[in-house]
Amino acid sequence: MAVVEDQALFRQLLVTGLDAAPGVSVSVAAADAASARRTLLHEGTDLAVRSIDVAVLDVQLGDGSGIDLGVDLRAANPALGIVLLSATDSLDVLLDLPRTITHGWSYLSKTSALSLPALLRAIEVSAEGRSVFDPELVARRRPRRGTGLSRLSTRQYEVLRLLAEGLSNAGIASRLGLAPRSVDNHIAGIYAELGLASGGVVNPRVAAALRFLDESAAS
Amino acid sequence: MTVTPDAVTPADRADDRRVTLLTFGIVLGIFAVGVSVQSVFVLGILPRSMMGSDPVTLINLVVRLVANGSAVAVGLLGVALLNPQERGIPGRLGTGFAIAFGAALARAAVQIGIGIYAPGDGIEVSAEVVTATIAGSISLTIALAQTDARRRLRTGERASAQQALRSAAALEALQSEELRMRRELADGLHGTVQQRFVLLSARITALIEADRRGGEGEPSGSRRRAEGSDDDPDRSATAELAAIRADLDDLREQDLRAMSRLLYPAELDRGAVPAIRALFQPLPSTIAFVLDFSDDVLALEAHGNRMLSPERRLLLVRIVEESLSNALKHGHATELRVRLDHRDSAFEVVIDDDGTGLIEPVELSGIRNLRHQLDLVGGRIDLGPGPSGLGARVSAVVPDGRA
Repeated sequence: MAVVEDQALFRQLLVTGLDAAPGVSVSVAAADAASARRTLLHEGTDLAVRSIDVAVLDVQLGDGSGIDLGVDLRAANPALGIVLLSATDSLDVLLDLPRTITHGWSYLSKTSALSLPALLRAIEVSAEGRSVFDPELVARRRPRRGTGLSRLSTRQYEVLRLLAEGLSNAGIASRLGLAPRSVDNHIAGIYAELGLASGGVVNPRVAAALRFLDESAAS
Repeated sequence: MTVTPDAVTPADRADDRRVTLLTFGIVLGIFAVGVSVQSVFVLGILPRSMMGSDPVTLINLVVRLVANGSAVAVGLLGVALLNPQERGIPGRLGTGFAIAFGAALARAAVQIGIGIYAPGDGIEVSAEVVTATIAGSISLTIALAQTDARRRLRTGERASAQQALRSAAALEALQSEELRMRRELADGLHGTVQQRFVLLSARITALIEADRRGGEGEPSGSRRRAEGSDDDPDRSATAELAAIRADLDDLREQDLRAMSRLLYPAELDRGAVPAIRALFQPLPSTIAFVLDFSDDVLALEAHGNRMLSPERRLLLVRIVEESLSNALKHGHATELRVRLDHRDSAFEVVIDDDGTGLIEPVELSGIRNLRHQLDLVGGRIDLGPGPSGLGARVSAVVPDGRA
């Protein structure tokens, strides 16, 4: 995987921590967007970005946006998972991703209780094409008046919140003490309320998580 | 514009020619009619051919008008052929005399031809030629003076237009430099300073944790906030640390971010769409809004696409920001709708709200400020009541600068 982070100390901590984890190896560590592009997108015998599964990117790089970098990396490797790290807690930046590449993007806040296990989980989930939105940021959000999200029942809202945190249906069931079957029903209800139940939605799970962001306010 | 203000284009030349001919024709025409009328009615001079018979006033007048009219026609022909208005002083003197004298000679010839004078009236005819030459010269002088005045006016207008253009360009350069500095400052606050706050906060957290572990042997990370009691000095130090950390977080979260946004709107470099979205992000959940971006706009100013210059994009985002804050501050709005389109090489934005609208037709200073900036780039902004008569509507046009 690749790590792009402009703070030297934080980058070293990340690389050391991630390398020590089983099944993870950091092949590229860069300090800015330009050098990351040079290393990962350089036209050679093969693009280096195709040899990695996940990129961990700081959103505010010294020379540009980590999100734009992520979009470029994703264009070169459509299966790449991307974990964004940010000091500014603006989850809404994910809403402006091109619609066809919204899957596999995770967002973790540097200011919340970011731990190595949480980061490793986000890396794993992103590699599978799902998303983890920082639980602390997600918990702070409230449905905005007049939106589909505000019409969900309390239970449905809880289920959607955990979905946005990147939990699987089984994970949601055990967290809420519900039967897996009942979580499935809740999710079907959420998709129906948000208008995601029709066949046209390619990835309703990712779409639902983004709708959660779109229709809630950080409080 | 690259031409100098006093450069003469073919259109200018045609214009000068028209003015010279028209003025010359009118002035000489007045002379012609005036002299004819004077001869017939005031002086009562009769043509040689009419002497001895019953004078017919109408015929007398027509005869004189024809003679004088021929002078005007020949004079106009001379101006059209010789173009004195395009010449310098010596050229004007030469051609001017030639035209006036030619016209006078033609008039004399006609006067003899139609019997006003007999070929033997040498003195009378000479006098007529001299006075007609003087009249023609005066007419031409007036015509040339008129043309020159018009030319000076045109040059002056062009010079001031160019001056305005140069000041606009200078202002744009200044704005672009200011914008660059603002961005650097905002980036510094946003990135470097914020990151250091994060690290400081993390170090304090580590201190609190270490203190707690040492004091109670409590497993680390079980609680993030220290809840000390005042009777224990160690615990109160921990509480103080926690308070400092909360202050730091607050400072970073509120003050730094607000300052950075003031200098340079969030996400401005990623396109107008993310920047406008970022404006609405901090609104409390009780405010409903719809952000409606057309597909054209998404293709031009979102998803990493940027077609506007940073200055134009900032202007567009400031329009939305100003409308939003007016709606909330003055209109107490609870519902907002933003529609952004791109057509005819311009971005068109409409912001509707459900607030109290405009109680009186006030010109808000922020809108006025934006209008000045929009004037410079050929855009516009209008503030009025909403389409249903409720709330307010701001509509603005920002040319994309590519036309």
